[in-house]
Amino acid sequence: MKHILPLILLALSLTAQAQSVPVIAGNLTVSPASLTLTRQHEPHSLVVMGRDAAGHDVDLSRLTKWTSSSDAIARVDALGWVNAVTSGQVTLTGQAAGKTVQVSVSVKLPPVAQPLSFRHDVMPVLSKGGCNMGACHGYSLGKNGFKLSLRGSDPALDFPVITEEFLERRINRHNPPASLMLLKPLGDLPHEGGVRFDPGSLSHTTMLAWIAQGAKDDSPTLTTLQSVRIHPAKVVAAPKARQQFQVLARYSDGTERDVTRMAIFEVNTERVARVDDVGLVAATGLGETAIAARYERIFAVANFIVLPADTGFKPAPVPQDNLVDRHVVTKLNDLRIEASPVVDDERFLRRLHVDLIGVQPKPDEVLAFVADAAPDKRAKAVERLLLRTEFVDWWSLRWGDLLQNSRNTTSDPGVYAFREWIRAAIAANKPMDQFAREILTARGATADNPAAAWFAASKDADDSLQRSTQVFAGVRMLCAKCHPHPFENWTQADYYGLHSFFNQVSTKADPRLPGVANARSVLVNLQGGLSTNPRTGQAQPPRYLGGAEPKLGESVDRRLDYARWLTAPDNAHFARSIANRFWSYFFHRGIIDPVDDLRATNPPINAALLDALAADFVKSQFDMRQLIRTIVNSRTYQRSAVPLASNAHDDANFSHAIPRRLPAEALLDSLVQATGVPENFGGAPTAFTAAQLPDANFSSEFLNLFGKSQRMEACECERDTRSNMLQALDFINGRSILSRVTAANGRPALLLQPKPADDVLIDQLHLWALARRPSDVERALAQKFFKEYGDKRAEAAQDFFWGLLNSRDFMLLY
Amino acid sequence: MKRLCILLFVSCAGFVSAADVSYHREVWPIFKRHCVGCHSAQKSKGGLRLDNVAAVQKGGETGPLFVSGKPDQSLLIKQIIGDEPEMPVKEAPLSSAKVALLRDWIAQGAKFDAPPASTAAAVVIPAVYAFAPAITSVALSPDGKIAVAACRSEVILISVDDTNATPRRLSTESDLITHVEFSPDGLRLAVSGGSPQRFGAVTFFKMPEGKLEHTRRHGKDTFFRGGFAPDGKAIALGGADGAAHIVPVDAAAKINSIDLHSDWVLDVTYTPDGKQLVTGGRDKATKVSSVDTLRLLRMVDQSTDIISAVASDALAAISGGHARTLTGYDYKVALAGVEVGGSGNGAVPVNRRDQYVRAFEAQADVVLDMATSGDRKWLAVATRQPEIRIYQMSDRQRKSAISKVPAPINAVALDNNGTRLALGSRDGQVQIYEVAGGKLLRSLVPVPVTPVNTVAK
Repeated sequence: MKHILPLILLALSLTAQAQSVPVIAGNLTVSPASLTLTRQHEPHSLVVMGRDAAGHDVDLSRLTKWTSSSDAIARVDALGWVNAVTSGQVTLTGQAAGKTVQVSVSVKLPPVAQPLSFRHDVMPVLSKGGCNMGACHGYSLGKNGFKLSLRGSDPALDFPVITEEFLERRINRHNPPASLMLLKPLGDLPHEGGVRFDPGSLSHTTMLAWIAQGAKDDSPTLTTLQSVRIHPAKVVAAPKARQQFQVLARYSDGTERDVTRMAIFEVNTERVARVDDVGLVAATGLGETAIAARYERIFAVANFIVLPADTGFKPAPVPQDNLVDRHVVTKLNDLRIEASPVVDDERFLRRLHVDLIGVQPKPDEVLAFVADAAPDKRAKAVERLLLRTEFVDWWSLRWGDLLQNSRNTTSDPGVYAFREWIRAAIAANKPMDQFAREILTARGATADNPAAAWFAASKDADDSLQRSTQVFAGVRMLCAKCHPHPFENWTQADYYGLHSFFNQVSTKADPRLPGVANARSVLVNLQGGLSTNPRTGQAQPPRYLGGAEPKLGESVDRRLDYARWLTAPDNAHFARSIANRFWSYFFHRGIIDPVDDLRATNPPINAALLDALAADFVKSQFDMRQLIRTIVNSRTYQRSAVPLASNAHDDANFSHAIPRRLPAEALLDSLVQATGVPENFGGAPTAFTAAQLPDANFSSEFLNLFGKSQRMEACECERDTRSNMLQALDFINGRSILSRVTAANGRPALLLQPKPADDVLIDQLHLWALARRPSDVERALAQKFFKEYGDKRAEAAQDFFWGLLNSRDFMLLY
Repeated sequence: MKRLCILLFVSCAGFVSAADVSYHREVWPIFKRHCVGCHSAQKSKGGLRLDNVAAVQKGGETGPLFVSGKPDQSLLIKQIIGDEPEMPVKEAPLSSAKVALLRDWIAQGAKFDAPPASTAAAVVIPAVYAFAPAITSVALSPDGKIAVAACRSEVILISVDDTNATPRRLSTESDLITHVEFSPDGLRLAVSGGSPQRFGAVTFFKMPEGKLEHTRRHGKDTFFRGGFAPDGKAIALGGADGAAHIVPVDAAAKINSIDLHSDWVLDVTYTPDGKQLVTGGRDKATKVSSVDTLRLLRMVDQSTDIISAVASDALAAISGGHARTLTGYDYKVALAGVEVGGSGNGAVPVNRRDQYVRAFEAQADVVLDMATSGDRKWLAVATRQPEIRIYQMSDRQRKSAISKVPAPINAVALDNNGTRLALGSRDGQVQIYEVAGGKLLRSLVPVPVTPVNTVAK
């Protein structure tokens, strides 16, 4: 060890010398500008920032030379950490890039050193070492007989396990270095989990010192951790830059500690940056990522943006006429990304039709739209589509998926009744808050209240609470049923608090529909007690997401309060999650993605956009059509899919459209419309389109192949929008397209009847298949194709049409 | 920046290759950090062990680890290089600096230098403790006159009646003593335990002199609890390897083991006739085995939680544990037929569990220890609660209780006829009671303790 240290120092000095000193445009800032140290062995880091001429933030922390006005009181070590020596007041002066910063430090050491705390010092060591991860001792059965609470969620359980179990075999207070709690993670004894502590590391010395102090439990009056923040919260870095982050924990007594070395760091987008285990982030690519730091159970997230060197980018003027464009363009300017221009009329109309009513426009609609010279024709097209009956079909289908209306769980008449209830709500534009409240408080048989089908589909209160939070709040609570949520600060108290809202509900067979499968009636037992939190064994009062516990009277339907809280205008989850979910129906991703996994560690790509969209949705009194209108009238929605040089790498900030595959039903209904040959769904009423089907229990290989939601889970992922080889093979070799183009009543045959000229035929085939006219190149190719077939026109038209339907232009929205 | 790093590594590697690579200072830390989790005595995957020099020289199933002087032909190097190296499994590849170091070591002839002085934590017995050590086990001589308490690495002999006598401290080489017990004739004391994850050990002392007879090490982890054979010729102890180990008092005789459980065996006891063993452990099972054939007779129970203690009289086995239950199992009914059919291997027992279970009253908390009197008439049970209950084994009825004991109690012991009871608490106290009437005879912390902050003053 001894002779490695000089090498490390040498390496450090080499790094410092070799790094060119950047030119800093303005003043330096240092965080913190003043600090108070109250514990001897608890140093505090200093982060020094500047800004270069190109507008990048530059981390100068490692380049700053510090001097203390008194090394006898506080000194700065080689890594830039301030160490307390004795009580007193000093000024630290740092020099970097020819500039100076100052930090005033007050050292107030207590006369007797405070002992280490199990919760505040030792538990973070176990988390940092990964000891309590799900794959290790945090596993529900532990590992090798040693079980810790998952990710340190329950110190009260872990304390006796470490200090008492099996006659204290894991620690030795009388000979601390002989403790298994050190020998195993140091690798001095074989450890399947490998070496977790480096000798002499903070983890090692903390654990050793705590055992030597007697491995004591904390006093019941111990402070509690209140919040954790990460600094800097936002960094715009140059390519290949490095940035040291700082993680600060605030406690109930108002003190703040630098816990950077014990925090656990993660980068959300690994293409953009890497982070090491002490919070030093290295930029590896252009773009944007969240840097998440976890300390104890609390997450803090910073935004890290890597921009190219100044390439003469001119910020675009920020549009003020549409809130979507305002926030998207602002963000793109920040990222020095240009937006692609707005797409042409034909492609716009096709995108709009499929997204709003689930089917392509017909040739006459396309031609009329193109011919229309009105400047507001796009907005007018939106208004027309919002009133179409197919709009009701399409959005009832979406809601039917989310609400899991299916004969898997509901009776045949119940499914149709609930479908009609949803359709009526969409047709009447029922405000979404009212829509949600009526569902979440429904009771009785589906014949009396069709919305009761939602509760009837739940297996139990667990299912109801998970479905309601996932669909109406975009939050996944399942993890917290058995253990604290791994990526969010949800505990079992939060889970069972929600459970208590839903546990009065039960179902019984509907006596008026004897023998009908899944015919159930929803009952509410007003006398029902509270749910039990299995961790504490105590009754858990109803608790909203976020921790507040309402005082509810006896014998009330607790769902009413939950629904009222959820749909209140100031609710943090409802409008936000719906706005985000609806956004994802018009783009390749949500502003937060996945759309039903909202949590601190999964931050929005554009928070201002989501906030504005949600606020607008609330302001419109939860008007679904208004939300759609706002989105699709934006230039952002109408952007071309052709990327520009400056935005080709952007796959998250909506600078250009990213092609999406048509959803299963839209693909099939568009195929049927293009070819004129209907699909026969076994069991469904005649002439039902794919979008009108009440559930997925109709025989359709096509819809299953293209990922129709089976409605088994309340997850947006039930609908599979990916492409795969089987889909391509079905299009090429299967009957879906081939049998339709060759049918006697198929589109090619119909178009050939009036014996049109080649040019007319080519236009018509393009319009029916792709909802647009051919480009000049395409037209020339088509003419050549038809010439080669000579008088075999029927065959030529069929083959050509088959080719168009097999092209990406049919499969994708672009 | 990236380029600079590479330059740095090259220069580091350059420095290292100038001097001879030390196996113990440089190579072994890499093995320790990345390899011995799977390649050691505990778990020699691929037949390879890296935890001692001989094993490194020997290599594994696929051959020797290195060709001296030829890193490129060495299996060790081949395994750790490439785009996706074979080793280490489920971990990031070794850094290029570490690979370079291992290459250099082989290139220089894969020499093994002299190991540095051992850093393995030796047993430390403080003259004065800073914290009262938990009592991990207690024993009473058959006549009830000597109590023995184990704290961590030493045992203390306490005269029950002579309160002026200074307790005598006997040190051992075990880091953690888990069990102390007098032989049935009272002339020998067995002290067992070992060092967690390193070795099990039993030390025998001649009593009442307290003279060391011998120490025997066995296995790779501590022994847990157990009991002397009725003839005093051996002690049966639970092992971390899932076996019950029969350790003879004769230092030259062989240790016999019965591999029974899928997890630690936490307690073992002989039946009064010495023919059978009752075992219980962390796998929640209670089992009865034959001492003669060293084979399982029957798994009599599978609890919902850990079995921490077992006991036996002539008629029934008894086990208790974290499920807060105490259950007897009638031998005659439970074992009917099992030996005829072939000692449990394939033989179908005649009777079901509900036919042979003889339940005791429910326990107030997790059972931590049990003790039987030498005549096997009385059973003392310690739970987390501040109360010791004493049962008559023949009818399983509670006959008395000693309350207000310093809970939690780690260990209890009875003398030969159940007149005296010793207990040891987690906070370091030893107490000896007269069972009839519950009179406290002695109460002491058996070792000198001076709290740290007092020392500071």
